[in-house]
Amino acid sequence: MIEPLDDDLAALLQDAKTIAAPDDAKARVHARLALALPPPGGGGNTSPPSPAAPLPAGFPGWALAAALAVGAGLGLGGSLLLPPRERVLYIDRPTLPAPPAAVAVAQPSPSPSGLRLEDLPRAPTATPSASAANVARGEDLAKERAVLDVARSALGRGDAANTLVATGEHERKFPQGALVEEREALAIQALAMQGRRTDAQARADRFRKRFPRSMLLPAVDAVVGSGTDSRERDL
Amino acid sequence: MAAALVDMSERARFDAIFEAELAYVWTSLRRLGVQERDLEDLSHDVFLEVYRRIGTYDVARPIRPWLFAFAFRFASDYRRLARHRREVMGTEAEESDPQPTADRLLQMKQNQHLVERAIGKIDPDRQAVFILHELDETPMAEIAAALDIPVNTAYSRLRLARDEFRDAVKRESRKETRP
Repeated sequence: MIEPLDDDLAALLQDAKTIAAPDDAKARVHARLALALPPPGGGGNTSPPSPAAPLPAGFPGWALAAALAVGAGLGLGGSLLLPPRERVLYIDRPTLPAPPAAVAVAQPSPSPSGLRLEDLPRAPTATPSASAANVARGEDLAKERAVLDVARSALGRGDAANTLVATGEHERKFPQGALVEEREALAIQALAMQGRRTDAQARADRFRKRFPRSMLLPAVDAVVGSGTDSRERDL
Repeated sequence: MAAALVDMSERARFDAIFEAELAYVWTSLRRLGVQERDLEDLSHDVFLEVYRRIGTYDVARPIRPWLFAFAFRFASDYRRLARHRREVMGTEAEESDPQPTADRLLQMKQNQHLVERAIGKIDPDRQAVFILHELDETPMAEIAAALDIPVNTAYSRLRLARDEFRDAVKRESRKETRP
């Protein structure tokens, strides 16, 4: 076994534990890798790399960039410019026995916090086609939830790296999924856990803009602190 | 690694690892003495190699020690080139914590530079064990597995590395306080 390190050295090392890369490093390295690697699902790229060659569409960096662009648009005026999207809040924590069926209820607008969605009365099923659509949506939601369960479990273990792996997977598979809000909250907590405060803060700012009435906002604020945007939220 | 990676294709697994761990590889390379201007090149090289070897990754093991082994090998090759011999580490470390006061932030950056300079004085083989254990908080068994050395050797290297680090910190601190 090894003895604990001297207190002064341990304190010194604590300040060097931050894991960080410049904000644009991922995009730059990703762009170079995309030219060197075969496209996802493809059989290998034998053509010479070209500076203008498109990057693989399935690469997470693109998904992230697209998600950020969409998020920014929605945050600035999406509620006015776009038809209302279904919002699904994933509230329970089904890590123990079989979770209840999808806790998904369509909403025309953001719900006031504190309201349990599953307590709302259920509308009767109108047509068989609507019912089929609901089944498909429920299956998608179950798949989304399964991915986020992995993320949540990892976060519970203090495993931020694997939390981000799972939220990254969710981001790729369900860029417009019903549980985006849940995913973002988990990712923010994981980033903060890794000491990547700048990244966590930036993602939290986008979260506030995109989900200004989120029930998860207090949890996000508790991790990164409420930024300037919180003042706007309170107005 | 996590169950999250188990059912993925190798390409999806690589993408997920890149997305989650680029910053870790970047930071590890910097800790291992790669200069700021070369971090992008070496991070690219590391992930190319990770892509080639992704099939050998055991998802039951933590990802970071496995990635560190790549970073360590590339950094070792890099340092063998005379033109890359360590100059002054961490000339411009990124500001990563917006919360502390300016004084505290300055102190943190100074400490980080001091740590990285002192790590640079540790024998390279011991350096890997030291970084994995003291900065990444990796269990010794995982360190031994990642570096393909016996656990007792890992402990031995850590003890020696601590001595070297302690001495280096003293020397570097004296340099800083010298008028």
